Amino acid sequence: MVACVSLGGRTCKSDSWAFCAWCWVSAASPMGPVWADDNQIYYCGGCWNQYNEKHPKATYTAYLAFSTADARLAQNMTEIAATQPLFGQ
Amino acid sequence: MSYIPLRDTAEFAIESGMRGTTKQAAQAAHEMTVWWVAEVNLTAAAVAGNITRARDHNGWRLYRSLSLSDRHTKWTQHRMDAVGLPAWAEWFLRHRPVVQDGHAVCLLRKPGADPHSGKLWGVSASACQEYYCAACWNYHFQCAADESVFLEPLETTEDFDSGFLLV
Repeated sequence: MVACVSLGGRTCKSDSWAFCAWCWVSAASPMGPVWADDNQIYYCGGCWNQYNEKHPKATYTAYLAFSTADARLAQNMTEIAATQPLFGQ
Repeated sequence: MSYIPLRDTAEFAIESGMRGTTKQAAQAAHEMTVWWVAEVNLTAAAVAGNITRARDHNGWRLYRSLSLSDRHTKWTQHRMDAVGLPAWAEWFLRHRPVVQDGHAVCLLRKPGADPHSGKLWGVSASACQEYYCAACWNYHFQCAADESVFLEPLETTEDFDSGFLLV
């Protein structure tokens, strides 16, 4: 069984009874696991990009970590630019 | 192309922060560190064409600027235990040549001091290799790294190496 990790609060399934709604791969296969959208319909990782293209109202919830000093800077900047290679990988 | 690395969970975001080339990332090897995590909600319409999935990093790459100063951004504080020098070294020094202590000597080891035991990592792949232990590499990174992700970045890893003049 493939390891299952809830991502962005989305429920994860990796059992053989769950399938991706679009490509029908089994959640227990090497292409699994699958994650639920807001309507509890499951998609594999490969189909999530297509899902987001087809659901323009979908929201990305994502996270970014800072040191205390950088958090204060970030909170006071109008916006942070996508040119900071010191962000971790 | 530059991007902002967003992660799927706060835990993945902190892990990325700990793997960044900042002083705090180096300190995280041997002391408790505090991380602030911004939770951002982006509509697909707002980021259309400017975001791609980073499957190998459990998150997204955002190719545009991002505001974290608005009231919709949720901030949480996290205290993280030290990851330990061995784990830090395995990640940060993974591209450097490595030998077991005994086959080389940490060049910063002072006469009469306790041996810098364990693995040693080389500066480069040159024939005249200089090796240093994880503690000395970590000290170097703490001295050489920037305090902030918002400072001018170091251009390449060679810049790091050229600053390796600790005695």
